Amino acid sequence: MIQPTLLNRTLIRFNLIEKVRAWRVGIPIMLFMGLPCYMMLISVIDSTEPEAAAKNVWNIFNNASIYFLLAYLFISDGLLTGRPTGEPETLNLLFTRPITRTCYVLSKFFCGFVGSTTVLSISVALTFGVATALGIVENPIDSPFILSIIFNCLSFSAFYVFLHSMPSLLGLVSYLFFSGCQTVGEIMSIGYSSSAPTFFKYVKDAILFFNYWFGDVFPSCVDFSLIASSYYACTELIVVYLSNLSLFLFLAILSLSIREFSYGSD
Amino acid sequence: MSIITVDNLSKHFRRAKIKAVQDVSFCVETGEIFGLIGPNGAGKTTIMACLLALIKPSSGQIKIDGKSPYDFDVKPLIGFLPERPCYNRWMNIHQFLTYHHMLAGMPAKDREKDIKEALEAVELEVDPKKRRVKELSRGMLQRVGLAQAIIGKPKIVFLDEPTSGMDPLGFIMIRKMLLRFKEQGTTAIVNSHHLLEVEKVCDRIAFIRGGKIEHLGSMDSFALQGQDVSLSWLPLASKNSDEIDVLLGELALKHDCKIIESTQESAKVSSPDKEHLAQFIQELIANNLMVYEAKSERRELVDLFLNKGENQ
Repeated sequence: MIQPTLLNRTLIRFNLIEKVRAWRVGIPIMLFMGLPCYMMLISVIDSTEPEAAAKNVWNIFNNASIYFLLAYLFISDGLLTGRPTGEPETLNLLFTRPITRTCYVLSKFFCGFVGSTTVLSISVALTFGVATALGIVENPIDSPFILSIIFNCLSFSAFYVFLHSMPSLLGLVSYLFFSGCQTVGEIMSIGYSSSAPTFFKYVKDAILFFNYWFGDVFPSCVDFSLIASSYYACTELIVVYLSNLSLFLFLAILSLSIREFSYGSD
Repeated sequence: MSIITVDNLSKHFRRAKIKAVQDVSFCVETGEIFGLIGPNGAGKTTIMACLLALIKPSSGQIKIDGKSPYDFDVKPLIGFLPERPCYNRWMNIHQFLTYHHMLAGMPAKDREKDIKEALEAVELEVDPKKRRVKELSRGMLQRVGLAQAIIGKPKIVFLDEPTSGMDPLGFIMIRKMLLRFKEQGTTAIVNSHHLLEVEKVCDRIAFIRGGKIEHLGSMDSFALQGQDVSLSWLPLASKNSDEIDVLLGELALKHDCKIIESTQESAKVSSPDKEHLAQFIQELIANNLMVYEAKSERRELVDLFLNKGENQ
């Protein structure tokens, strides 16, 4: 008798191994692995200040879009199928199999996390190797640096699983809304002026309102090297981080649980 | 013993304001081939989706092997062929069947044997490791879908339009597969528009229209819902063809029969049951029409399907 589990080994195998064998996913992953060390190579060789150039290259690992794209590669089938949202209709058939919706969400989250952490670990190792070979003495690889990568992989995987579990249009709207709350809100908060024309003032107020309440929902990169010095900021960030992580996973499970999969044309 | 029981199942789509299924009740016996037939929009697919726990019923109760369809223990019992081939297109056939074999919780040591058997059962003669799902034709996709449905050796198979996109050889293969299910004691629920295949293989059928079951029973009971008879009589000098037409019309009206076609010496009559037909023939004879032949014609399911549609 099959027992319900939290992680499904079939989903893990197909998302972490079988999918990567396909060139459409395999090549981008190779690029993610190799690009930072290639950049290290050309930046250092071409620069008059190699240490500063190397530092800039290491900043790549603090870029939110890298984490988001890696989570997308391991969680969604979009790149393989040529459809941006993957193949949500395959869920109809999947959920007639002995797999719970919680297990589906957690397995996808696990694949996103393990896949992106592995790719970035290899990338960091390769970049470190190239930097050392080029005589760069300073490197940022320490516990906060590694913790930052792990935490970022976790948060972006959770966020992408949340988007992936929503119906396609709602997922896109959620992405635009949360990213808008964060980025537009931050832009608006700069140069806020009370003498602005009334209409624009209201628009600004509305955007700032959403930024205040939802601006932290869209994951941003956590940098432990920066926050380690401040206890208060660290505590606040970790609370926000953990609440967002659990919220995304909870919403993903909830969304799949209440969704109906009407597959027919009748 | 019933393996599936459905009691007063209703499903309303509130947003679309559609009552897709209304108070539907039926049961399916173990090892039975049960057909769900009806015109487009009748609610067949909605019933199947409720049985598969893909959509939640608005009211009513479903039991599969004594448990709710949402119960985890029910899932390993079922195999499902969807109407639309919503498969993982990027996988090759072997990967796709491996994926579903693993999902069904089948032992890894039997995997290659089970995949081979499933492909043989659906008569798919391609290299499963070289052909991707997205490269397959509609008929081949349907065969892969069928292989997927049986790969977990299910006790209950749900087949939604199994012959969709199939060639005549595919029809024969499906029929053979359904007969094999009967031999093995596997229960099958077949949702189909291809009535001929339903008629030949199903033990019982439910005719659904407007979200309600209009008829439920064996194929024979379904056929007895109506009776078609070809009548022939000796030529009459005393009555011309117009008079015969008038007579046939009057008697048909009197006995709830319908004249499908008529000539001066014969007529094809449809009656609601045997009693009405017997009275109709008796009165024809009483009116000096010397009936010498009455050939009963078993109604094809397709005729009943159309008639039920027309009568609504």
